Amino acid sequence: MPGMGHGLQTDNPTIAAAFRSALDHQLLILVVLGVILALGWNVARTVHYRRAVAAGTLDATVASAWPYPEPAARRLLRVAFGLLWLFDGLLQIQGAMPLGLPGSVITPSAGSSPGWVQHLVNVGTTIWSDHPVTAAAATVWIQVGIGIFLLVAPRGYWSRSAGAVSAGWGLMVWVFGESFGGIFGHGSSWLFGSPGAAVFYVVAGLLVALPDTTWETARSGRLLLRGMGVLFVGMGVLQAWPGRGFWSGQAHPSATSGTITDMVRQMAQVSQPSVSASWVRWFGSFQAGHGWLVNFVVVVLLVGVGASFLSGNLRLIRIGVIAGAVLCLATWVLVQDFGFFGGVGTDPNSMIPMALVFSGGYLAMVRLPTRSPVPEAAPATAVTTAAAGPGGAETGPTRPPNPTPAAPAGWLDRLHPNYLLRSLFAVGAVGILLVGVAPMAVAAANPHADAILIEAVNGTPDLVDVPAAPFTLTDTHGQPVSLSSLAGHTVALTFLDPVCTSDCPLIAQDLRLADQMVGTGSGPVELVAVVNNPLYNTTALTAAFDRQEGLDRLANWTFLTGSLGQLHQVWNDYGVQTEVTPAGAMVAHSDIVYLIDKHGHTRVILNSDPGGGSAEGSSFVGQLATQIRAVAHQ
Amino acid sequence: MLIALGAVALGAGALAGCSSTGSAPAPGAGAVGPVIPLTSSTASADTTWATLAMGHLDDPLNTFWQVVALTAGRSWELATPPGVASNGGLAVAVRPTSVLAGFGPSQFLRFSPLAHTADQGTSWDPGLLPAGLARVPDALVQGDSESLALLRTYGGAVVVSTGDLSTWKPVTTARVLSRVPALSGCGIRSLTAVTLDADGRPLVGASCTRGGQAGLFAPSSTGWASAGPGIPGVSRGPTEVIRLDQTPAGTAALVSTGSGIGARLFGMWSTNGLRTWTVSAALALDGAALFSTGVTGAGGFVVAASGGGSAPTATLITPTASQWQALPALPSGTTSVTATPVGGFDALVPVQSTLSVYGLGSQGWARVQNLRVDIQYGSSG
Repeated sequence: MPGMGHGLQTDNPTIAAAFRSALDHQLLILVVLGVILALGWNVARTVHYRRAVAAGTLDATVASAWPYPEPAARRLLRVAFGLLWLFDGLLQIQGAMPLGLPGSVITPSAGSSPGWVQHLVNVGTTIWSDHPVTAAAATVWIQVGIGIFLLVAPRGYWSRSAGAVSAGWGLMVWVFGESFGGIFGHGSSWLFGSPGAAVFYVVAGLLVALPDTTWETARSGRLLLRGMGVLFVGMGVLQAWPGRGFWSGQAHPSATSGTITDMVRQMAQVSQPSVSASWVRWFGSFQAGHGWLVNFVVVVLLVGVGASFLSGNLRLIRIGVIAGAVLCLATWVLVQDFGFFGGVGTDPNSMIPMALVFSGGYLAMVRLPTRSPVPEAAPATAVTTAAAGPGGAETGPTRPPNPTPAAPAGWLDRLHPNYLLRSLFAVGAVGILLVGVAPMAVAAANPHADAILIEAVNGTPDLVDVPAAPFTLTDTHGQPVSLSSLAGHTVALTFLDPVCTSDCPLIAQDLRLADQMVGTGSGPVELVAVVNNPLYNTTALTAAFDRQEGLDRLANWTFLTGSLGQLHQVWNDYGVQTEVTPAGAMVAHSDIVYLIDKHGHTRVILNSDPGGGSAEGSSFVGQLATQIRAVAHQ
Repeated sequence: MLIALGAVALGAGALAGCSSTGSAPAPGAGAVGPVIPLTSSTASADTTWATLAMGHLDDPLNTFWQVVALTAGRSWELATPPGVASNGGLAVAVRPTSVLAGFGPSQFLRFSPLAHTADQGTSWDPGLLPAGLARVPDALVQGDSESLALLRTYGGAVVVSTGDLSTWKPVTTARVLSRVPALSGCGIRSLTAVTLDADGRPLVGASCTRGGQAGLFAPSSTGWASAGPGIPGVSRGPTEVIRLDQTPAGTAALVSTGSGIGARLFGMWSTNGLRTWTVSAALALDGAALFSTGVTGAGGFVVAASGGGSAPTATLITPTASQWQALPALPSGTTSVTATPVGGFDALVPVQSTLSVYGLGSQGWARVQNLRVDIQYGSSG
């Protein structure tokens, strides 16, 4: 109703229910996929067994394809980030996510960034806002799928693909969800999560996607730690930079707190277990009283850890890794407050992924795989154990390979059962990914917002079958128009104020857009509006409204008015409320659309309140078009 | 493949996210002289009509412009015409027997509804302009048989209606006037006011970029001619007509010269069909910004300004006075200073939904009334 205000709350029960329903349906698809894969595994294993029996190779040990087990650093990154993605995916299941993510997470993170970042982020926000249920459910499965993909595919093509997908999605999250981690915004700080958690997912994913040979020397670990060293030193300098508000617990004499104190106190307000809240509150109080000391310690540790990573000295690096891990852990608990509380937390913030990445770099230096000699006639499984000495020695003891008989002839016979099983798991993980990606891609390509949005605002349309009340009113040319004269047409009837500043022009355009969506395939459709302002209702005003909205050129648009008595009669017949309000407010009136079939029966009644945003308006257009089509075929 | 799909989704999203928003040009933006405040008043011997903003003034959708009226012997009353959102501003044209109010466009409304009353606001008849009303106090004027309106299109377009306030015909535009050779010395930037002189001829006020002459133009036998006087001590530079009205003292204009810290105000009056003008002494603004202007019942002007390192002040010039007269220091929060029908002055102080009225007496300003206005917050958004 214009003049009455409206909006969509993040805990809207319609959206929450639709989100749960979408997840349930998609889970059902995945269960079916799991059953199919299990059957496939059973068939393949049976065939494999029978062929081995027939070939007499049942007891043979099939060689591993890899000359050494998965390098420790790679395994750490793959498994840890797999678990993180899984955790992030589960966080996305929170009911407030569909409507809460854009307003509570994305937009605030972009708020302090320059215009071009906000514009770019707005692209992603628009997709999410137009399709909140689809996007939220898709994100769940994409992240769960990536997590499982990383966990079940330890080596080879599947594993490297998992790394690439992890990096790709991490990049999407970093750009559109975290606004580049806030690195272009003012006030960014390592303590607050800069340069963003997702950037470490990207780095880890890329490392997992690299060929195995990357891990055979300490070079990759050294480079990774140098990069992290530069990051730590840079963040330390930013943290120490004067005038950014980090050196004081109190921003200035008239303020109640400084930048870090603000952050910590905000985090303490978030819904969370009382234990963590009390820790954060304690640190907030400590920080308020000892802001300079806290920042000094942080700066020293950041620069020190960074310097140790850059030194190349393994002993210093080891100390730096330990110090960095402690600093990350303390920051995660006391400043970032674990990162995921509050209903729309999407990940555990930056400290855990960052610590994992530099720990992976350290392992890549000190625990190197060694390629074992492989007998020509008998492929072997080689297992390398850690054996890095001081300075990053790149050799280690190797367990001798197991001898195997000659390989069978068929491709199936050459597959290790474990590899086959892991491949099926990987296929399953890709299936989970696709359950998220496919609807997300379809939604992103759909410029019209989902109908569920407007249903969440206005409720579902009322389906009825009653004769529409007759009327005869006057069009903008002064000609009489009656409802009976429109027999044989599907009529979309609404009530508009020609001098309305907000909803009415939107509703008129929604009708036009819905009519365009319907096209000519559903027979003739008439868009009819009746004036809904008892004071401003002349044909001059209806004509001015039509010109303003470009509706005077629309052949099937009619804006009707009449004497006040005639208008009151129509308003009464159609249950339309109108209230003249004082003090410069527009006339408050019902936002409603009646769909009348070609026989003159009202079939659908829709609340046409366009809601508080463009997504709701777009959603209404889709809903209206669907209902017009349905009525046209009745 | 997944990344490719993501890229496809991203590309599609980029298309879906492409949108642009348009906005009407900000009235008064980049004005040559002082920005013309829409907050204004016009007093006659019977009634003072004032327009001012109320509500949450930092939120455009919850700022509602109001018309208030003070009839001699009574208190201020709310007289805002109902039926249209007033977030875009209001302008009124006053005659002894009727009042015409125009709504500035806001949000999706791009033309201006009008409201006309012949019974002191008890009932209003609707009208409309084909485009948005200019955001200046004297954008509307009523004559015996016709009404003029100044639209914001083309830097200002004057239109006339002789009928039901729904059919309008063009009179002139800033663009047309700027091409008139006789007016080339003005360097017309925009039209800022319109009135009808004592003979019922249109008189248009303008913002001039040069010339040092009041930008007042009237139709002549050959088209349009300059009708404004030269200003003593001002040989060149910008001028701007801030108020233009037909008063008991003749045609009255409030004109600014110069810009920034050098801006000055002049009152000027003509009682002989625009042939000669009486020009007042100058009021130096010293960098202050005007926030309200009022026409007194006697044809003078009362202006209020703030900034420039000094407290808000109100100053009066009458057709017969040789100098501007400063009024006592204004009550805190004053947004409008008006002349009353009986020759006094009131300061209007809106605080959200309450309008406090301070009358000027021998002891200075004293609160004389609190007017509660039933503002419908949230009704425009």
